[in-house]
Amino acid sequence: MSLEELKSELRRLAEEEAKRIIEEADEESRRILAQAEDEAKKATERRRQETGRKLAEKERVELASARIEARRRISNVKSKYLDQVFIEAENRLKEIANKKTSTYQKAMVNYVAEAVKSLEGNTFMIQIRRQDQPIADRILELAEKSLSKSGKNVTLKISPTQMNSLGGVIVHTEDMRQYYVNTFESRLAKTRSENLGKIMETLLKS
Amino acid sequence: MSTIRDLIDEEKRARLIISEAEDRARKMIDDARRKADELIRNSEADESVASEQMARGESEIAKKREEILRESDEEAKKIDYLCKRNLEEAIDFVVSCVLGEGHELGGA
Repeated sequence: MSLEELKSELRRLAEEEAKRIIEEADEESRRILAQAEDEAKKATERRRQETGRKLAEKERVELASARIEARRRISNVKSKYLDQVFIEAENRLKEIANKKTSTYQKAMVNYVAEAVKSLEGNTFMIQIRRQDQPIADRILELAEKSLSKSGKNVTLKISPTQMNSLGGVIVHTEDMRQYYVNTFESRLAKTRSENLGKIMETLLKS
Repeated sequence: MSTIRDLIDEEKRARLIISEAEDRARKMIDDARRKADELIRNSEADESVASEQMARGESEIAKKREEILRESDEEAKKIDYLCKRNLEEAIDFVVSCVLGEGHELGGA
């Protein structure tokens, strides 16, 4: 090889090496950028997933709170009417008791008989309202008759203690060791706890 | 005619060509790394996508919440109507319970 050819070969090799270096750098640059884009996409995806999780939690809390609020609104309406039923029922019972209607007197007889049947003994004291004094003897007489018919002969006496109530009776043994409360208030409370389902069913029937 | 001296000069030029190529390659890679860092940094700092997603999601949640409350209001109205209509019957039922069969509340 002549010197001239050697010079040409040197230049060719140098240019070839330079080209290879640039090509490798270009390839490396592309790889770096592609990797960065990939990481950027992953970062965006992570953020999207994180935001999705935050939203799901927010939705869970917000909708649970909305459902509670919805139930509260519906429950308020039901409670309003349930209270109204008992307020109005109490007013009607007051009126029945104050007029001492035959219905009231019959109920009083039944209240006494029912109470006596559940207590032990032969003599019972009946507590009534002051307003019911005029019908007391008649009620006791009818109650004794009713009990006698069912085989329970008892003596009933009006208690000197008067009760403060809307209506009804409290029956107790002479020694006051047993008693039976059969007032309108107690029966209203019992009706509310035992028949709540039936009352709501009546209110809500289509 | 080429001399040895020319050959040595040619070799220097060749080294220079390679050296310049190496410098350019380093610069290309440095640029790429800088752009990559910026890309990742911008992506991590970019709140716009998340904000938009959050705003869209919150709007959906608000709609669902409104729907639940609207349905409950309709249900409440229906209940109000039925209760109003059946109120008398329920009162009669309670009064008849109180005046009817008794129950024991006290005891020995």
